[in-house]
Amino acid sequence: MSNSTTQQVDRWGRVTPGEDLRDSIFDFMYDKYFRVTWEGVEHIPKRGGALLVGNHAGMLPVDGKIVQMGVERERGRPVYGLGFKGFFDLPFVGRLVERVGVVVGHPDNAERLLREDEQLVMVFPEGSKGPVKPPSERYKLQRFGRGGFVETAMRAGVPIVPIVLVGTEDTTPVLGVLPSPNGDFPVTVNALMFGPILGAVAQFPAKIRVRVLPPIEWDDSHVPKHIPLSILMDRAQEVRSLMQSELDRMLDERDGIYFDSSNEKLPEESGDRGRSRS
Amino acid sequence: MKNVWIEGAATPLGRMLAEATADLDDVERVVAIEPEHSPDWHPRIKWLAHEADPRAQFAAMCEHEIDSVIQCSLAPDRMGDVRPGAGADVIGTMRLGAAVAREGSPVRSWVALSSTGVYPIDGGRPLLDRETHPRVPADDLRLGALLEAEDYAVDVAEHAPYLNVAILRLQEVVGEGANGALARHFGQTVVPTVIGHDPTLQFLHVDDAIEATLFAAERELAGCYNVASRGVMRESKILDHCEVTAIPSLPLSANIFEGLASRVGVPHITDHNLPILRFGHAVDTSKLEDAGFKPGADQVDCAEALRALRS
Repeated sequence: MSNSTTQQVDRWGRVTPGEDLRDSIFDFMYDKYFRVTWEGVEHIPKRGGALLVGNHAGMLPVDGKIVQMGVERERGRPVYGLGFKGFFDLPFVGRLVERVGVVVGHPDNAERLLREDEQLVMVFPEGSKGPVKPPSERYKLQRFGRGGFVETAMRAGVPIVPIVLVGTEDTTPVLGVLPSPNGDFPVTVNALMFGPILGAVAQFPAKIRVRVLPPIEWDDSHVPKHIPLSILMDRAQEVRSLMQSELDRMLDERDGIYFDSSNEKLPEESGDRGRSRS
Repeated sequence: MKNVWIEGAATPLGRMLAEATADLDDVERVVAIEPEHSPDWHPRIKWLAHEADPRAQFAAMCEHEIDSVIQCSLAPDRMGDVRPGAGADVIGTMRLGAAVAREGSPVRSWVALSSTGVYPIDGGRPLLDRETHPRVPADDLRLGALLEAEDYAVDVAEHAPYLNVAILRLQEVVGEGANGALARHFGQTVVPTVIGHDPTLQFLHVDDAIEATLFAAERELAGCYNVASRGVMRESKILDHCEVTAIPSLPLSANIFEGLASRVGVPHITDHNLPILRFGHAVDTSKLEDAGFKPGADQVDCAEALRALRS
């Protein structure tokens, strides 16, 4: 019996990026449209599992794809995301998100990816509250859920790598939030200019800066079966505070939303953070 | 494992298991339980008619000094059974349990072959189901009997600590002579797929099914184990491998005309296969591998068996 397999997709359904039209469009958006720059990318481990934690924004959030592309280019490693399980019930949608590396957001999947496959997994602990927040909360991190991401990292025995993105909230600026029976709904400048459908897709060309912070590891010699909620919440808050401070710092450094040259000065100023440009 | 009792030997997999067991050097006697006598069987297989009374079963086990029991009647579809509506034999399991756990019983190992169909299948499932994951709700009409039968085997294990009870949850079986419900789906002239989905599938090659069962009986394993051949495979890859014509279809139940469609050979998706072909299903087999069993086949071998089924 043969031992070889000829599968071009991995067992999670992720397709390795290639040279097709879709990838060319993503490349254009990343390089020319959003002009993404990275700092501190060396904090992302070259080997082994790690949980990448980012701030979430945008009507059609591009942050996940940007982090995925950047890490693939800079570190040569794929990044998986944990997605809302409702996506996978839908025809075509589930297939599409799987192909770009999103897997069902189930603790078992996260642990298997991190511990068994030793992969990088990206999560946005703010969830849907990140993109749907009033203008007064702009660049203010929302609550980090129940600290599930901390438990996932503890159980898998991997570090948490915080990633802070600036510019993503400016791709679809929120003017206000309309309450609806199914949850709040953001009204964006894009929707007013282009209509509700095109406005959900069209993004303004804000310059996006990404900064990776040093990995966070806790000294846990033994992880109990039931981790006290207080530990999870404390640690989640620790990560959130760290990211909020860095987010504020990056906003102070920023010259402008669309033509930000602040990163040009960074090699001298950012000290041990390091910098890598894409 | 010297004297082996095989319940459900009339099923395709049960028959193959009986023959494989009889071929083992250290096995002295195989007692096959089936409704009708097959005179052309292996000379070391003794046929016994199915006995409804557990006391009579117990007496027969004592008479033949049975030390191992393999039960192939829990999940008929995984045994290659094509009878429509064949369900798990709960009463048969209760009788068998009563016989093997009776005081003075010579039986030391009971291997019950169940199905990975006990795990719920929907869009929110993890890639691989573990043995510890919750099973479908007990009131599930299709699988309720299987859950009840599994629970009964567990109950026997708890009350008879000298008896090792292993429940092997077999993945969809494929291979010459014993194809399960999903394998038969891919054997249709044209294969309907669910539009917009490309599920992750996993099969168990019939050779691995037999080897795993004999392994569990020989080692007198206890507990619940998932059994599947190595790896997973996307439906699209299987279709490519089998070089079949696929027709995308809506995820509608064919329950009403399933019997008729089967008889006249109209390609359709059965109620059993519909959730699998929408969301996929695969299980984690590391527990059995940690116990020492290594499957000999991978999913490419299984796809090859599916192709052979079509030719």
